[in-house]
Parts: sequence; C-alpha cells; structure tokens
Amino acid sequence: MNINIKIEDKKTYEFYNPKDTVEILYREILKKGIWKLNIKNNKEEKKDWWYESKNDFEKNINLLFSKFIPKSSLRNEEKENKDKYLQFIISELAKLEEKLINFNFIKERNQELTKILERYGYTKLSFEAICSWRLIIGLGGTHPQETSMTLHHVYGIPYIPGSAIKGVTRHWAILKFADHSVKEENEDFSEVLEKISKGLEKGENFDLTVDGITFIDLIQIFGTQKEIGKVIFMDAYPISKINLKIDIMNSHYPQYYLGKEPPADWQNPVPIKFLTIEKTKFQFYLLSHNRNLLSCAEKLLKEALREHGLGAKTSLGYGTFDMI
Amino acid sequence: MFREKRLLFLITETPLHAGSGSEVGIVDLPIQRERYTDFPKIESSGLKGCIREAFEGYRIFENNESKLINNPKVNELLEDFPQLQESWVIQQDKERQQKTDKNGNKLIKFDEALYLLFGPEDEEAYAGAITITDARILLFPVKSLKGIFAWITCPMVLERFKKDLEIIGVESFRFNNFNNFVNTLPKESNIKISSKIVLEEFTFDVKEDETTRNIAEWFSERIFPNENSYKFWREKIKKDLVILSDDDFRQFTKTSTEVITRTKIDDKTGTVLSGALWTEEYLPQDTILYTLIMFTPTRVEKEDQKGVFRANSPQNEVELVCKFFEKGLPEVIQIGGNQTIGKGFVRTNILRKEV
Repeated sequence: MNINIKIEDKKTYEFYNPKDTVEILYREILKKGIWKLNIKNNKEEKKDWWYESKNDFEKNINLLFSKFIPKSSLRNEEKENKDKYLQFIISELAKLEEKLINFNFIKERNQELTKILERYGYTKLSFEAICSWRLIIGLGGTHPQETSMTLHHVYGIPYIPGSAIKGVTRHWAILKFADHSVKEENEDFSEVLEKISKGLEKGENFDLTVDGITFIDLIQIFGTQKEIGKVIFMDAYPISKINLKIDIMNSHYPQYYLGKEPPADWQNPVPIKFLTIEKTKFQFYLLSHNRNLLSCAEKLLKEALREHGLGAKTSLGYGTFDMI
Repeated sequence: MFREKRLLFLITETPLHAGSGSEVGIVDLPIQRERYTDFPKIESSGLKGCIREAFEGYRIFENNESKLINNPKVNELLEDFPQLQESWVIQQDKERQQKTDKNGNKLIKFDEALYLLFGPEDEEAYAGAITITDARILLFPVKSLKGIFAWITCPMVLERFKKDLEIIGVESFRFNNFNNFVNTLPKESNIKISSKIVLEEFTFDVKEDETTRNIAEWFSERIFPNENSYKFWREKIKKDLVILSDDDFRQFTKTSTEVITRTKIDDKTGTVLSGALWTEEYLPQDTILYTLIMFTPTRVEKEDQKGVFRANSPQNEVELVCKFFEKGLPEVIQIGGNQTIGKGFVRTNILRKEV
C-alpha cells in the first residue's frame, strides 16, 4: 500500500509500508527541495533536495535503514535518492548518539556482564581497537537496496557480531599455519590450506607449532564438531563516536560480471552506494577458563585485525584495525 | 508437596538460541515455542541442565579429586555450609570409603549436595529436590520508530504471570482484568508519537493508563538487579512498556525475533563456502522470561544420606535446600547454542519474598 502526498516542493516520494505508518513517516521524514532563481529565464529551478527529520526524537536506525525507505517516484531522482537516504541515516545516527551520549549505557552493561563472568572462573581479556580506515559488516545481507550493513537487532546501532570475530580469527590461523607448513615442506599452498582447514574442522592433530601456538591449541580454541571451543568471542560494540560514511563501488563492466558480454569500454559503469564505518573505536572481549588459550586467541585475533581485516572487502584494505 | 517456591527472572544479556532442532521453513534453526500459544519458551530440561552445569562450575577435578574453586560465591556458600569441602564418605560393604564418580574422581560433600538437589548421576535412583518449570515469556523487546525500542506484553501473559505469582505466594501484583488495558502504555512514554506508536512497521493507536504505569513500575522495581549498570533499563521499562492484544503480541514474538544468517568461509578462496549458508533464530537481547523453581525435602530415605541438608524437620530441610540454591545460583548463566560466539548469556534474578 503506498500513497503519494504532495509536499512543499511539489515533488513526490513513496514509502512501501502500511498506510497509517506511512502517514506518520510523512510527518517525520521530510524531503526538502532547495530552489534558486535562474536569472536567464527568470524561473525558480530546483537545485537540490534533502531528507530531514522533523522532530527531535530518537529513531531506531535499524528500522529507518531496513524498513522505512523513501523512494522517489520521479525517474531522474531515483539514483540520487539512495545517496540522500543514506545521508539521512547518517544524520539520524549522529542525533541519536548525541542524545544518548555515545551509548555509554551499553558499554557499562557489557563491562558488568564480563566482570560477573570473571567471578565464575572465566578470565577476561579486553582491548580497544580503532578501524584504520573503513569497515563494512554484513554488506551482502538482505536489503531492499542491495547493499546492507549489520545493525543491532534491538538498539539499531552498528556493531561487530562475535561470529564475525571468531570466523576471521579462525581463518587467519589457518592461513598462518598453512603458510608456515608450506615453507617447511615445499608443498602446494592451496593443498596444504585445504588439509589444515579440514584437519581443524575434524580435530585431527598435526605436529605444527607457529609462534609458540600449537595445532592442538587451535583445535581447543575453535572447537570441532565433537568438542566445544574453549574461548568465547563476544560481540564488539563501538565505544567512540560512530563515523558512518557513504562509500561507492563502481562496476565498470557490469555486463561482463553478469556473464553476458566480454569486458569492454562501451559498457556504462553502475555506481552502487553503501554505508561504511570509518575510524571508529570498538571494544573487543574474549573470555576463557584457560589463560594460555586466551592469550593465543588474543594474539591471533590482533594479527587478523591488523593484517587481514574484518568483514567485507578486506582485499581492498577494508576492515583492518589498529590496536590502542 | 513443594514447601519452598521461588520465581526466577531471566534477562537475556546476549541473543539466546534455545533450539528446537531443524525445520524446513524460512528459518533453518528455529527456537523453542509453546505448542498451544506459539510464544517463545525455554524447555525446563534444558534450563535445569544449564543451571546444574553452572553449579558444577564451582568445582574442578585436580588429580582425580573434586575441589571447590576459590571465588566469592563459593565462599558465601561455605559460610552457611562449612562441610561442603569435606570428603563424601559412604558405607560400602561394611567399609567406609570416599564416593567416586564414574570416571574415578573422588567426590566431596559439594557433589553430594548437587546430587541431592538436581538428581544423582550414578545408578542410584532418587529424584532431585528441585523442580524447574519451562521458562515463560514475560516481556519482549521490539524496535520502535521513536525511543529505539519498547517492551511488549499481553493480557494472556500477564494473567498467567499473576497466577504463577500466586503459586509462589507473592501478592503485590494487585492488577486485574488485563483485557481492559490492551493498547495502553504508561504516561510520559518515550515511544509515543501523538496518540500512536510505531513498532517495527506497524502503527497502533494507544492510550496512556495509570494502571499500566503501575504495572511497569512493579516490573521496573523487581526484574532488573539493583545495580548501576541497569539504571538505563530500569528507567526505560517504567515508560516504554506496551500491553498489546494477545494476537498482536504473538505476531511480534513470531516475526520480530532475531534471525541471523550464518555463513562459513572457504579457507581456500576466502569467500563464502557454497552451500554453507544457514539461518538461526534467536530471542533478542533484553527479552525477559521467568521460571518457577520449587523445592522439596531431599528424596533419600536414610538420614545419613542427606549430607549438608540434614535437618531436624522436613521444613528445615527444605529451607536448607532452598538456601543452598539461592546462595549458589550464579548471577549469569549460559543457555542454548553458540556460546563461543557470545550467545545465550542470561542474567538471573530471584524475586525476593515480600511481606
């Protein structure tokens, strides 16, 4: 159900949401046009337009981002629309941060949780890291506008799920052990990689020690189908101002990637915009009953963060962190 | 039969997946639900197992001997039950010897207490002295256009909660006829946009109500532990609690759970392994559930088998059992799957007795 409501600049845009909700959205999310007088023909001409929240109230960013997406009903505005819409998300998050003092209450509660777990025999290891450039998690998630980003299910803020942190640490460890093994045995890298990857999954032991970490340590840290891993990788939350930025990927040979035509210069580039997190500080927590495994996991995680990167587009330098 | 009863609040600190197996549907790994209402729940057997495991975390096996770890909670337990560290001695063929488990570990009185409380782990047949019901849902967090999120509940849930409170003898929840409060919320709520609220993409007409405010306040004072780190949530629940109709509540608990898409990275290519993409359903962070915990005297015949719970009357025995549980229950337990990526951490809070 969508309805068109004429707003100030006489242009239309639509929401694909229930009717009563749409009415509220029209009241709360305005699209303002900027008009200027063209001296040549003495007519008012539209220069630009922009979404803006009418009232100063904190909105759920996840809802705005994934469900309440304004769509321009004018053909020539369609492309710009996504850009403006992402900018709107950024400005709403900034408003929210200001009002809720950088979500300090989440930080405090996480601290309390890990402090309690320490009382029950867990050793806690926490460190802060800042993403050196840009970070994008969940880019390929389901989203009406193709490019997504992982936001917290209830609070709606960007965060790094523990699964992503554990996954990249494990992947890094496998690369590292394979690399070491190849240097010693002079075998084909991808074969060794597969062997080690399978070995870690099944819990087979290899007689390998890299930087003081044995393969048995790896098996214990990450666990196998038979035995649970002994290190807990908690979600990482932002602890400084969250800098959201609009990024762009620009496929120059779209027809080629669709498998239809050879790559050629007559194809039109298709710019696709997406949100990234830039230079934001995160708090990482690791927990374990075993101090040795914990420090091995910390070492691997920090290396993975520094040298491999977390999330999507790591081969382009996204997702790397500097430890603080 | 049950002489001591308690109500235990469970606050999910991280998303919780109490799984019900796999399913051919939108979600590959759904959560447990009540058969007749479709409300999320946690099966009591799983819950009891988690609580037992948490208690077992207080002791470790060193050189085949059971030993209590050094932590504040254990020290508290030892104050009331000083014998817990002593050897668990049994009479076997006219000879007294230390009890061992099936792996040959020598056990102590603490292990005996766990056997008596939760049930034995060897061939001996007697029931445990604790009964735990399925954890039921009380409040469910839903994204709100305004005010970030709201907690929702419904008349059926509130009615059931009231009855459960009556079972354990708590009378301060003096509210009735919850059907009259459908689509109401407390005064000065943060989530209201004139006379409407928007939860997920749905709009509801709501009214402010004094009773709903009182209900919210009752929750605010009791659900969250009295700690500074919960201040934000205690204040929030006072304002942002909405009573929806049973059907609307059910719909949200069906469709607004957290569904996480998991992938596995192919180590060779660094991309998603084909075929390794699955979805898991979670109860979101800040879901509030509760369970009833009931205690009986120990279920063993002979006095000398009753260990630290031995007392001069059944009533005193129950009180000792209950005290052991209350003192020993960790503030945080882990329930459900995917512990190693930080899922399923639950804060426990026993509702204190009110006079």
